[in-house]
Amino acid sequence: MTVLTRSALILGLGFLYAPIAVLIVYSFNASNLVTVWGGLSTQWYAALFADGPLIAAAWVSLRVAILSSVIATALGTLAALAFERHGRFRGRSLLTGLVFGPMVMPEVMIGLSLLLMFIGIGLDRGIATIVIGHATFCTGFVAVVVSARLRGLDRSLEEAAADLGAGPWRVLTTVTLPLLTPAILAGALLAFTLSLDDLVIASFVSGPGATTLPMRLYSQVRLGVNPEINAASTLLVGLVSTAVLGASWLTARRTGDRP
Amino acid sequence: MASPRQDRTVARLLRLPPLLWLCAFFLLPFAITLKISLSEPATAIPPYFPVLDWQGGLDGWSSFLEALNFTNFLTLARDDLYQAATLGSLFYAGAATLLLVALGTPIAYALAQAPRRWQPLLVALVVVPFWTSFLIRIYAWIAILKQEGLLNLVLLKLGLIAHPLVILNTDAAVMIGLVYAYLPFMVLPLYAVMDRLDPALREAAADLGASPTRVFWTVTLPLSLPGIVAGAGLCFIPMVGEFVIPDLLGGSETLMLGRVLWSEFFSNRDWPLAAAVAVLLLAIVVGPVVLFRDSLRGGENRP
Amino acid sequence: MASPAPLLDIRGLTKRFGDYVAVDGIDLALAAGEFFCLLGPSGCGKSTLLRMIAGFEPPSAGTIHLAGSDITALPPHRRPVNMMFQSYALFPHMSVAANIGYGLKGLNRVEAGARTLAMLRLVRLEGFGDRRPDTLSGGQRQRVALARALAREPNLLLLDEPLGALDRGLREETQGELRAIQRRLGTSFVVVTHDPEEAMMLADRIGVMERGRLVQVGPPAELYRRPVSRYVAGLLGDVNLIPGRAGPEAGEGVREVVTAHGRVRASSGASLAEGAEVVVAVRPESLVLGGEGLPATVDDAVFLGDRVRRSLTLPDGTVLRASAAPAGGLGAGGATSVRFDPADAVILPA
Repeated sequence: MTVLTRSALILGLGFLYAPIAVLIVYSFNASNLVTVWGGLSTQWYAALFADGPLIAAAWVSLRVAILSSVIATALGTLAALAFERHGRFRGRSLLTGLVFGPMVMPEVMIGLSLLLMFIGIGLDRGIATIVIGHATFCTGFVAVVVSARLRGLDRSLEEAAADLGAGPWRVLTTVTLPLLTPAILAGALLAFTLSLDDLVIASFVSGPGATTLPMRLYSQVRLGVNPEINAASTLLVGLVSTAVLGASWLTARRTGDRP
Repeated sequence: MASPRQDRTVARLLRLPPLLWLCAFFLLPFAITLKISLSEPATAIPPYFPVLDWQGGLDGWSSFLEALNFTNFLTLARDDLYQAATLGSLFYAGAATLLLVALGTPIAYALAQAPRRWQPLLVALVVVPFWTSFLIRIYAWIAILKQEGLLNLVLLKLGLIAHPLVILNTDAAVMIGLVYAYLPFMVLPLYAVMDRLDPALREAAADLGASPTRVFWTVTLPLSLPGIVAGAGLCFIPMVGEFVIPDLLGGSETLMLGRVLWSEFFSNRDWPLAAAVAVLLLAIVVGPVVLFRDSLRGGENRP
Repeated sequence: MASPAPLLDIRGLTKRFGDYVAVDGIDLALAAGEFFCLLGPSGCGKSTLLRMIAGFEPPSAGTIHLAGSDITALPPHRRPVNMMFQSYALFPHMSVAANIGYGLKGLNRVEAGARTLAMLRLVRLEGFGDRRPDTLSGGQRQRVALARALAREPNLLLLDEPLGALDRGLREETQGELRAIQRRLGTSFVVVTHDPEEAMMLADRIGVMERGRLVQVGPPAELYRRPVSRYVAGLLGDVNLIPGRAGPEAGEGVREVVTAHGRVRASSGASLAEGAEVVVAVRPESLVLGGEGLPATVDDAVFLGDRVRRSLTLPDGTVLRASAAPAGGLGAGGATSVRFDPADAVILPA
């Protein structure tokens, strides 16, 4: 590596991590001013855990994320199997567009149109509608992750199972799905974090009493920098990095791929 | 042994759930949005007119179709606000994409040039911020960019400036936010392409007398073009509809379609107009999506 | 062999990757116009040596001089040396002509165009200038790679397994072509190969590498007839190894070897202590049946048209292969004796 490429890397990674580092450092700042270091303190964490609405919002987010990631994982895995194992079928390009469309469409568009439909059919808005919205836009991400693994899977394993007399259903449940488990878990984790992270779609389709963590954070962030949010962010960053590192360790161990 | 018919039945069963779900919650909502964008706002619930009378049969449909109008789109076309928002969206997304290409290329190149055994770790380091909360990462920039923020503090201490700069709530802050949030989306597909380049190609160029600079411009960069295109598509398309970044980092004059849609809907409660903005956004995005479809597929294999 | 001022002069060249020594203190001098082959199995360090000459790997120790000037520290693009890559490394986004002209930046357009045409003609690819590399056959690509590397008129061309990607028939045809082009241009060629037959067919001199060291350098015939080790002997062709102990000298460059079945005489290259364990290496075509020699049994005889190949066993179980012109009968299954001219056999350390 030359000096030039090395400095490009250092500057690039520095740019990516500096804001996160600032958040973490200031979550332990006794002063509530960003520019003043008032000494080490965990008071904002204490305040965080005493913040009833914020805790409630975190629970809502968690429930939404679990439910929507389960649905998205099921749908995305099925879509991936349809794409990779059953080749050409009528409506393939329709399904492709439907699965991958929500990944690239602006979130405001997805949120608004879902809301307009929920109102149109008279569905009460709440946790269920957020779950529907999140599952819809996460399905594509799961499908991408699972498809990639399916493409790398040795086709002859499934053919061997069929040759030994297993019907398509048994091949799927005893060979294909077990081999796909790491990818399915990785896809589920991706869907989970995406759901946990979403502000825009949730803001559109949520109803009274269903405030997610990002919605709560957003309403506070609009009022300005708040050390309590720094503390909440630090916890979230810690949680997510642990989950990501754990997942990559898991997949690396299971498949022998690099993380 | 499985009969072909059995095979086909399983295949159909597999694709039915995602197909039904996405038709119900992705395709149908768009159809409804399109319909509402052709309606008039009304002080009723729902706050628009006409409402399709599902029980009205053919008559209901014809009276419904007659009442449709293009007023909302005419408003979008004529009103300065929406013109500015459209141009603003295209400008910010376009300029940020160019900046991302300029910044992402050297970083991706450096990643691909790093020692083999370090690469998985370095790639993971680029990916982790993508996994951490988007909202929080943008929020972090407020603390850095605001007038009494960290950046001004450092610049003042270094004596580079005499007075705090106003960065937050300006175009510059929006640009910083966009580039920051989307950098991994540019770097990763580009790295994937550069990593696959045969190192012998660069060596051959050097062997034929090309300086490292010439090797980069005549061999590495042209062969990385698919990655640049994929990265640009992955960044440009969602940036056009971006809401959080202009809302938190931009000023009141930062006009982007995502933000206008949001305020039409939540503040002005003009649903038909908001729906029309959504349709406009779709129209803007659909071109690049189709154009980049193949290269976006290439960039799909992000972590 | 090398003239007083060698074209390429390598001294003590070493490459370490961590604890692993890929190239270990190599000394080598090459004359202008020479066709040199580096021969060895994969992982023996021959490609690393080539990459150090080209400038892609900085040596851990040692120097490389080219035409009298030290190029050890020069980056690849400043070295008047060119390389033909094993994968050919043709730029997929450029035409054949642009590939060949890539290294001609110093020339003006007319000159560069003329040189490109001349190169296309040299490799018999006139009319292919506008084609993309991926539309060419393997043999055509190989020729483009050769033309591109020669376009800068280097005085030393490095070729990394230049025929490795070609199928058998094409390879033999291309060997002759490569040799003809080298003769015509008078450029020094250094070819890396793992194929002994190819090395013998192409090279004026061969350097055999084993685990990072250059174990023997010489013309093909010398390496074949006077290998310095069992490794070199086995690498260059089929060889019989008869174990024994070194006996006394028996004339100029000849000494006796005591085998389990009697004394034989063979040429001795290296100085060996009397009584040391040795093997006598004899090529199959140098074994003569009958007369006064070691007792042997013919187990099998195969008629191969231009020769007969016999499989023999010595009483202690050592298996020998003999190859001779098909005179007389096959004579399988009989007791016989086997002997060889001391000049055609060489004593090697066991």
